[in-house]
Amino acid sequence: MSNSVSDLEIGSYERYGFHQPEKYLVKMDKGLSRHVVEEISEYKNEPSWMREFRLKALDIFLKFPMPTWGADLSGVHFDDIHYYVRPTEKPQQNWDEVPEEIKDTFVKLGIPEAERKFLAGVGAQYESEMVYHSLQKQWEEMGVIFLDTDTGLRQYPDLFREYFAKVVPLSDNKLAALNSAVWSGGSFIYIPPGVHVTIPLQAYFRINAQNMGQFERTLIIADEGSNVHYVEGCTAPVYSSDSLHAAVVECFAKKGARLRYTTIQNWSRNVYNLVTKRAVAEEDAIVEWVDCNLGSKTTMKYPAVFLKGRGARADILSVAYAGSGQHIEAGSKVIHAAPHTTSVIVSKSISRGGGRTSYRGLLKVLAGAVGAKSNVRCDALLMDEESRSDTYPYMDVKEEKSTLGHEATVSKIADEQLFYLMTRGLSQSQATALIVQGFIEPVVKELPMEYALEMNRLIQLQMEGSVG
Amino acid sequence: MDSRTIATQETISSLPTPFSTTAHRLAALEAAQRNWIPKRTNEDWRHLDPNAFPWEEAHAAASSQNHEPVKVGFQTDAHLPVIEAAQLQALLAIQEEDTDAKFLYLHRAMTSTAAAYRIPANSQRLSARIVHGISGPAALTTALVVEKGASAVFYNCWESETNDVLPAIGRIEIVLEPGARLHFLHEDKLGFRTHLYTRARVQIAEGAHLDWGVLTTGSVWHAAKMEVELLGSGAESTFYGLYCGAGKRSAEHRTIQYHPCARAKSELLFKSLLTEKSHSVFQGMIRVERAAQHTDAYQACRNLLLSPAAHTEAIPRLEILADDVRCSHGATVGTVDEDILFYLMTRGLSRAQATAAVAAGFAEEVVRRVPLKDVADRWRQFVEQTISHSLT
Repeated sequence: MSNSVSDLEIGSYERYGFHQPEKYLVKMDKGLSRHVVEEISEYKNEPSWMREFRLKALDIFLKFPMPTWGADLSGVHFDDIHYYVRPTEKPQQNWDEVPEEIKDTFVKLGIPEAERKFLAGVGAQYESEMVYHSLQKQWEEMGVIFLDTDTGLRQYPDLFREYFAKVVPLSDNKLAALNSAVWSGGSFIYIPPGVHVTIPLQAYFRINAQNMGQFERTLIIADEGSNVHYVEGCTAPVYSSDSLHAAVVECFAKKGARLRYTTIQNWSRNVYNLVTKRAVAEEDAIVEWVDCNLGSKTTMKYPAVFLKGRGARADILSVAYAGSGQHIEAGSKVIHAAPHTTSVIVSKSISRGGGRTSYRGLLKVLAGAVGAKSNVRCDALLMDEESRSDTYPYMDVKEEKSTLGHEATVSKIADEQLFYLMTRGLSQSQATALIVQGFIEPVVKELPMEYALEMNRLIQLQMEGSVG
Repeated sequence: MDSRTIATQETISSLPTPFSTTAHRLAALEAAQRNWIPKRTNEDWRHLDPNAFPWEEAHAAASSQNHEPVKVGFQTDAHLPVIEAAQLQALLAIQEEDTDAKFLYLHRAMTSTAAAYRIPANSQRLSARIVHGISGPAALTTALVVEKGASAVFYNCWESETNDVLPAIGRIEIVLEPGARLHFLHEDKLGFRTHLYTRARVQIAEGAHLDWGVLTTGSVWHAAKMEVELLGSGAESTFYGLYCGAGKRSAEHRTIQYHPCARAKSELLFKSLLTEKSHSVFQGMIRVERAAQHTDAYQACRNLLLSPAAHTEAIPRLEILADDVRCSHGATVGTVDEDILFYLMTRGLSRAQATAAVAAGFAEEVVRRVPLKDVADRWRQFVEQTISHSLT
């Protein structure tokens, strides 16, 4: 079997020196100060309220302690980070210098050539402008706004201000405060009442793609009765020289709206991925987080839904994969604040080669949320004896007339299942991959088809290295 | 059965030497003063306020020489030898970094009596009952060493004769030697203004088997940390607990199923029946170390809410480092199902009767495991009393 799997493992990115720091010709000094924040704001030519907002966030960031629970964050050094690099001055990497193994992975994943360059950080933009433009025209006719967040602020200042930082306030947590101070890029989406966007909006359709920024800020508003699916990330490994990613995502689903947010995260293994994602669901609205976490050194991510309106619903589906040296803390938070709200949480995690996955969840039912129903299911698969799996759910119920259930299991792949498949002629790695695919299927089937295919191929690649 | 009560006060109240000395007590008091009250930012204490414990009364009691003695009634089939001082001292040792060290040092400083017995090797189906009665701030201690191959049922009860605001700190330390079997029943029914902190631990050697039943009722504030350590191949433990919450009672039960060794099995079922403004916190941990292959561990927490003002928090946790294991947990929270109530009401029961029947059935899953009939009946009475609070 080829060694292609090893390129997904820790070390390979560094080994191939997949970055060229000397190409940063103009950049801000490392570290964070009032001056840096002011400069970011000035460069972006922002309204004064945003500048004030950033400065206030900076104060809060400096005041807050680092979270002591969850993953080990002692490797995050805030003074050693460039907080802003102008997009035009982003380092251009040379396709020839992209390691063969990564290129090979792209081929195996079946990623088109144009996209490969983009994913490897070589192409400045995704070369499918024609496709994008025709879609963009359709959306514009429907009144859909789909811009990067900086442009969103410039073009729709009032709409922006009405929703910005309303579900993730400044003082929410240290990393959200950091993002608020230095945010740049991300998506700004508004779907007018009653509009159904049938094609998923994908982050990398955006032409002036700042979509893989360190401190991106995404704001999605699905107005009454609308329907939208937003997809970010990709299954292929994404190299980043930035050691910290602290994004904030805020979503609003108005009455009767349906909003799905799909993330596929496969950062290189040097990245701390600390993301705050939160949504508000009003009456009869549905919010769905589909969250796949494959990469990064450390991830701490707990997509949250605040069920504010009667009959609102939250679905959170997540897959976490932790290989050697990785600690993936993925979880969920649901707050039932209105009667007859429901939530379903399904979490699947796989630990292999000494990796550690943790599920950390919060389920809160406030008094008065009569008839709230919630079901949580966490399944963990341990592939070898070096790996670790943890489950830390928390249920807090103040309403008598509610029903909650939580179930979690941890196990390894059953020998009988492997044996059965191998008697049918599959190799051990094929059999393992098949079982793992079956294990994560409830989540993968919710992904758009091309992502689901890639995801399954990726799992196959990972599993080839896991046995024999 | 020729059960006989053997003299109690003398055997129990005379503590072995290191415990009875003034120096020992003063050192413990000094350590208690040196340690902080656990902070609310500590993960263990986020849900129940440690400041609600009557610290001043506890310190005052620990400083004074003459506090109310713990009265102990003891009934047993056979004479039980006491645990030697050195072993007892080892069992009651306090880790310096323990989050709850302040409680444990106060316990040591207040200790005037300890029920510390050995159940001799190969005793068969030995039965013993012990009741500790308190009337003032108190330290309660029960220690047992079940020797090789012995089997016993041991009933332990903490109760009080007063409804004053009281601090009480209890410790239970049990050792099961290889092949021993113990069914340990524990009742907390201190007065309704008592604030009780309990630390309990059972160490289970290879091939030994523990059944552990717990009933919590009484105490307005109750924090209990209960741990089973499965220290050998074939060690097994089954824990079943019931908390009857009424009035403004708050109770936190922290359980730990610790698996450092291969081929052991642990099971846990904890149920809370909550009425009025009662509050329950359950924090359950299954920790499986790397070496503990072939572990089979299960943990279930069930909460029944019978009042709109009741509040429950369930935090079941798993930390699994070995791969060839079967570990799972489940937690549920809910009220009595309307369909079931409707069914019972069509059969002629009033709504209150139907609710009481369903709630009693909920508790019965725990109560029916109690091997002593009179104890099981008393638990049923507590359940009935608790339910009646919600129906008036």
